[in-house]
Amino acid sequence: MTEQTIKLEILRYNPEADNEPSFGTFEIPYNEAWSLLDALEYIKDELDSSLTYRWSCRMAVCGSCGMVVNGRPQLGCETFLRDHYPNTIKVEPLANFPIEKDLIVDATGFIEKLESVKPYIIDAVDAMKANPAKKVKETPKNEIGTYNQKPAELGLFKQFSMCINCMLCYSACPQMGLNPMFTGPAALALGHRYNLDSRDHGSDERTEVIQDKNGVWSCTFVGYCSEVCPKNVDPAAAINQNKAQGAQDWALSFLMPRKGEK
Amino acid sequence: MSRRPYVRPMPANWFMSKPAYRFYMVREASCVFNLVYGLNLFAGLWQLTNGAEAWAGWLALQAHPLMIVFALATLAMTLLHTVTFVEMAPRVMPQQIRKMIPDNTVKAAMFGGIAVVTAAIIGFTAMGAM
Repeated sequence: MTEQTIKLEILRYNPEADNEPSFGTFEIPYNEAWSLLDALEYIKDELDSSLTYRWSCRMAVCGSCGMVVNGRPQLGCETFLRDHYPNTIKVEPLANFPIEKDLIVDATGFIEKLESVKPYIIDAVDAMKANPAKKVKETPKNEIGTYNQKPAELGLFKQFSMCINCMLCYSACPQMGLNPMFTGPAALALGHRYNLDSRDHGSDERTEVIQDKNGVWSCTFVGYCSEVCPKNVDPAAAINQNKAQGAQDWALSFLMPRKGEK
Repeated sequence: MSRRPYVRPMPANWFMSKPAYRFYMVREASCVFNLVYGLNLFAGLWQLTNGAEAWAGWLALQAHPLMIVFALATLAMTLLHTVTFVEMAPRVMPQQIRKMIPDNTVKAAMFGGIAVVTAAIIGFTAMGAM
């Protein structure tokens, strides 16, 4: 009996030799237990050592191996050959990012967008430093100097804190491709996560980025970001909750121009 | 060795590339049917003010097979619009409220409300026809 094989079509781009990416085909032994990442490792070890891709944990935790598999953004470690066999698997780098080499994309813009939403706890002291006119009520600390948080308070934002920065949602989002300035699903969901945190007082400082035209208002609720998210973060929900909040703030700004302060 | 990142162009027909995108476009296009249907209703109202003959002409136009097909297509698109709207609505609610009320309760309340309004409209129309 001849050995079973499976074909992989991989989008290749070598910045030193190619003017544009093109597909390369590899035929490898079919192994029922292999993930797509295992298949890429086989190709790199046995067939073409120049194949370039990112990976690390092999267990859907690190978010390194995001790629587009048959048109759908997926983690390479969570994609199994057995789900595609005997069909050819088409592998491309994440969409809406510049290709650095083969399956590796340039994530610089993504990192800058993550930073732009101030994804850290801004306590009352920092919030008043940023805006001395604002009166911020400090969250009480416990006897060892840390904050207590009730399960319900944690539950409010926990879902939005599960993101592993795999960038699948950026690849899924057509608005991202149409407007590369869009802050994007993962970063906006992360900003929302801190705004919902009971220890945080920084929502005013995030508003400029979140409510910008390149913030939540660049989103049209296609919803595909939430479909492809491997951690069920539902970034589309986070973004659109902020639209509702933004619309409410806008309406209230006419009734309460000083936000209730004298 | 210098970097030379390659930016892939976004094709103009990107919305045809994935089933999820195609469904999104149909969902968004459903409002166009409602717009045209609404304009047609306003045209009917306008004709009503122009006397019995104009009104009869508008009514005759509504009986045209193409207009019936359009009405049925609008009904289908409106149902799609309603279902997708209700499915998405709980996710847009403020997180604090969303954690208090189960999504299915919100959806059931919305569908219930829509059913009551629809029944009322059909009821009034049926009374008018008697």
